[in-house]
Amino acid sequence: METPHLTFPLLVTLLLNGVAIGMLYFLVAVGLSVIFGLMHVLNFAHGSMSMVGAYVGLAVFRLFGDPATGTAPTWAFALAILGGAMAGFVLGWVTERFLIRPLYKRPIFLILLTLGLILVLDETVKLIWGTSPQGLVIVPGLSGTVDVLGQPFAVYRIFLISFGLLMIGLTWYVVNKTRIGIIIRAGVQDSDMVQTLGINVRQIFTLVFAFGAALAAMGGIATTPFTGVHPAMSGDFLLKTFIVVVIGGFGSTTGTALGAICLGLTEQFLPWFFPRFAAVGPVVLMAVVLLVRPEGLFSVSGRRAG
Amino acid sequence: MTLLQLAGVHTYIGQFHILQGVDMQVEQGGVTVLLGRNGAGKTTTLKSIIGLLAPARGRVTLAGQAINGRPAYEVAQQGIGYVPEDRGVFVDLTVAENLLLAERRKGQLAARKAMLLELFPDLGRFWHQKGGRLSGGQQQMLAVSRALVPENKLLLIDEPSKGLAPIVVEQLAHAFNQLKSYTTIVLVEQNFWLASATGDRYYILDDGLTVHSGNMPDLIRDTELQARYLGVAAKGRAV
Ligand SMILES: Nc1ncnc2c1ncn2[C@@H]1O[C@H](COP(=O)(O)OP(=O)(O)O)[C@@H](O)[C@H]1O
Ligand SMILES: [Mg+2]
Repeated sequence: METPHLTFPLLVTLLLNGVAIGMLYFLVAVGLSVIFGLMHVLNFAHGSMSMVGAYVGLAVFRLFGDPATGTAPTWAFALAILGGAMAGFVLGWVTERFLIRPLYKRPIFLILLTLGLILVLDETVKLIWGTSPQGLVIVPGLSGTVDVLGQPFAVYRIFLISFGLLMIGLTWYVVNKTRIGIIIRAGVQDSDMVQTLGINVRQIFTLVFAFGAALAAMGGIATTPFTGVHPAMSGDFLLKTFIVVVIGGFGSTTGTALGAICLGLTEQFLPWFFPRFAAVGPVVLMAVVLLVRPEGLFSVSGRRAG
Repeated sequence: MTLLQLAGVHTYIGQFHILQGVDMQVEQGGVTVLLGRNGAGKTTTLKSIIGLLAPARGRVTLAGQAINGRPAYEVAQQGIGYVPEDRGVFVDLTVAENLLLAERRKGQLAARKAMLLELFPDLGRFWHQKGGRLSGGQQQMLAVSRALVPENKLLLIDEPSKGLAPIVVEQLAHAFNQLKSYTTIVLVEQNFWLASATGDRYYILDDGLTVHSGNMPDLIRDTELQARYLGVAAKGRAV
């Protein structure tokens, strides 16, 4: 079998592609990671929340689009991201406040609950939007390619990298520089102790759940120009998200960012070097991390939120 | 004035009936020492006060107001600072962040910083270090300081001397005596030297029950009572 020569410009393209995809994974995974670190809740429905965000985003997008061509003005995409994020926020808020909160003392029930939520959300989406995949056309302002070292590179991917870096920066700022961030990092270690300092940690749980779902929803919409919107995307997201969080370490936002980029790059480069292992590579990577460094490659002290 | 009162407090952990009628009355000011051998229920008593455990029966009142059954954050906001047995220092937070977290109003730490540094000068050197990098003694000083950031009426301190060098235990004794003019302390302590050096009143718990109480000087003289309820710990001295 002939492998094409890996030139330097191609290497750069793969690198950028990997980072761009990694940004999507970060958006979807960071909520799962912090929610688990802080509340010890493994939200299996996190991928479904991404999917719901994508569907709501698409619905908003279509409000302003041309039904014949499927195109819409650039700002419609911004509104789609915002609308999807709001849907994710509300969904996350309601889920924590009314479904998860009564069950904190019963971890087994929590697993069943979030597994059940997958079915509910997936079926609801099918009921409203049907089962066939739907596409989202890249808006004029983000379509086309630019020249990177003589290779065409999609503008949309540059948008993804910038948007992802912005979100990583914002998350980093909130977690490391604000009072809520201090509460989150402390709560990841010992939320009882945080309570005894006079802080209503449950409110923070709700907020983290809501923002985590909102970020996941944004990730869902941002993915749709590549993959379209379809009911199976929740499962895809869930698997990728678990891989990212295992690599990065539960509870760590920095770890999630690094884990996400790591997965994005693995997916881009593996087919070049070991095409046979392209499909199983990420899962093998996760298994190896679990065996060698179960606290995550990028975590310093096991559980942390920095 | 009675600051804290426990009346017939029963607390379960899971299905285990741990506290089986704890009575305590803590007057405002001074240090009340809570004594008793390992497993007597001292930690469970403090957790039942702060709200980490909810008493199944009985009443806990702070300055006349019932606080039992309230969530821990509400109890703490009534003016109680809690220093747990494991110190509860957040290892990934800096010393400054650990202290900031305890603020109930913006600016409380800034207002309190000088007092804390006078009490524990070491803290200043570690201000921007992660809590996890401190020694046991420094962590204990941080944990006590954190309880002092807001204006707490009452401090609950659980076995602060555990695992610490005698010189550090002496520093704690000095600090607690200084704090008497500022707040009221309930101190769980197995180290009889620290208990004697700081305590004004004492309560002895045994098997989840209050079995004795009185003034600390009387207990210091009563070696028979010490031997009966405090066992070998009573012979220990810090220096
Ligand atoms: N999580 C728990 N589950 C069951 N029993 C417990 C638990 N925690 C403490 N106990 C029991 O409660 C009793 C009192 O414990 P504790 O209040 O920690 O005692 P002390 O602080 O006086 O040493 C002990 O017999 C202990 O074994
Ligand atoms: Mg104890």
